[in-house]
Amino acid sequence: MVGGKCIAYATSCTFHVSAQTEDSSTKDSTGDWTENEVMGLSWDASTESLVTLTDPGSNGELPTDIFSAMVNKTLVTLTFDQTDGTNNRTAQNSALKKTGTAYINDINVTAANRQNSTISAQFIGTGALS
Amino acid sequence: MTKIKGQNLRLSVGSRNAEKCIAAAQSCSVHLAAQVGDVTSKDSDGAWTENEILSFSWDASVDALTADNTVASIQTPSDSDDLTEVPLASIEGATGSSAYYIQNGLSSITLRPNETITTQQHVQCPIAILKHLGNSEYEEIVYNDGLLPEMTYTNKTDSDMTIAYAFANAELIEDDDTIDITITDNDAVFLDTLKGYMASKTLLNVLFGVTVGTKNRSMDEMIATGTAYITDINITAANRQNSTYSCQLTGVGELNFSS
Repeated sequence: MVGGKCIAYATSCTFHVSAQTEDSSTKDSTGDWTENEVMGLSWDASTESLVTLTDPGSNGELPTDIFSAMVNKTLVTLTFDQTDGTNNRTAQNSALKKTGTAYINDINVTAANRQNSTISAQFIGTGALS
Repeated sequence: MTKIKGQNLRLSVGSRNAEKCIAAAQSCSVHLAAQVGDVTSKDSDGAWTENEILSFSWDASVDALTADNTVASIQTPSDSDDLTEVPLASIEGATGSSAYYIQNGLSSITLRPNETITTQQHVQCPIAILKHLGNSEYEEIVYNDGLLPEMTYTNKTDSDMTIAYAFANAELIEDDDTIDITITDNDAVFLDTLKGYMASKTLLNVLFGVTVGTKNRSMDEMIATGTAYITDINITAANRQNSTYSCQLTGVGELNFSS
């Protein structure tokens, strides 16, 4: 969900959290096993949708609407959560819920002959994920 | 929800207000990317990376079948078996068939007294319509570079009159001469033109939007516009398959989205 609204007509989405680790093994380490330490955390997300210009209605964001958020360098609030209700757009505040702020850093529109056109968007998190 | 099918989402390129679809396209894409800088510092709270958008770039690509823009090619009367018949004119008041066709690039039509010939818009090429005055003399009525507009000519004489059609830059020719004609598709951009744009470093206007109409080539709803160079053309010719090419465009400046 971007800014509290689901990206409409989504066919897939991903949510990715990554820890940057550093090998902190030293001569003081016992045994043969590498010792690692988490130095930092980062996260990103992506979504893929069908291209349409049809109004998504309430609680829906047209995939193409995120173009302006990207070029305006808008920091968007991204929520990853289980959904239900009409069009599966009502957030359930589930145990899976994660929220953070992110920039949209990549949009790709593909139009293959005799297939539905698709749009994919990449989000790069900035700051904490809660 | 009305999904937009791939064949209705197309890239058009060219000079401003003269953009044309890239012909025989099988797929296209438009890609907008933000260059992100990691601004995490010792001043940052917690363990999370902090990012900032530094700049934008965009590019586009098309995959298409390799084809030239020839719709029909006509050489000599002896090639008539392979030719496309193009209805050219109808004659009012004539007995029998009222439709006349170009089969070999040169068609002599005889108008009887008081018959009227009317041309039809079916041919895109430089053309000339000639009235044969006799004794190898012709009166030339020339139409260049485009569709043949409607034209009528009436034989107001008391005897038969031969009208000769010649399609080679308005040259006068004898009835039994042969000429080469190529009828081309001028409504789209083909590989040769794209190669020319690339070689001449032409900054192109690029349109990306929903298309409708004949061959899905008329832009109906614009999604994005910008200017770009063609930076890569790759032609693939696999055995027993259609030859294809991919064309990459690298954006220059802003990609503007229609609101």
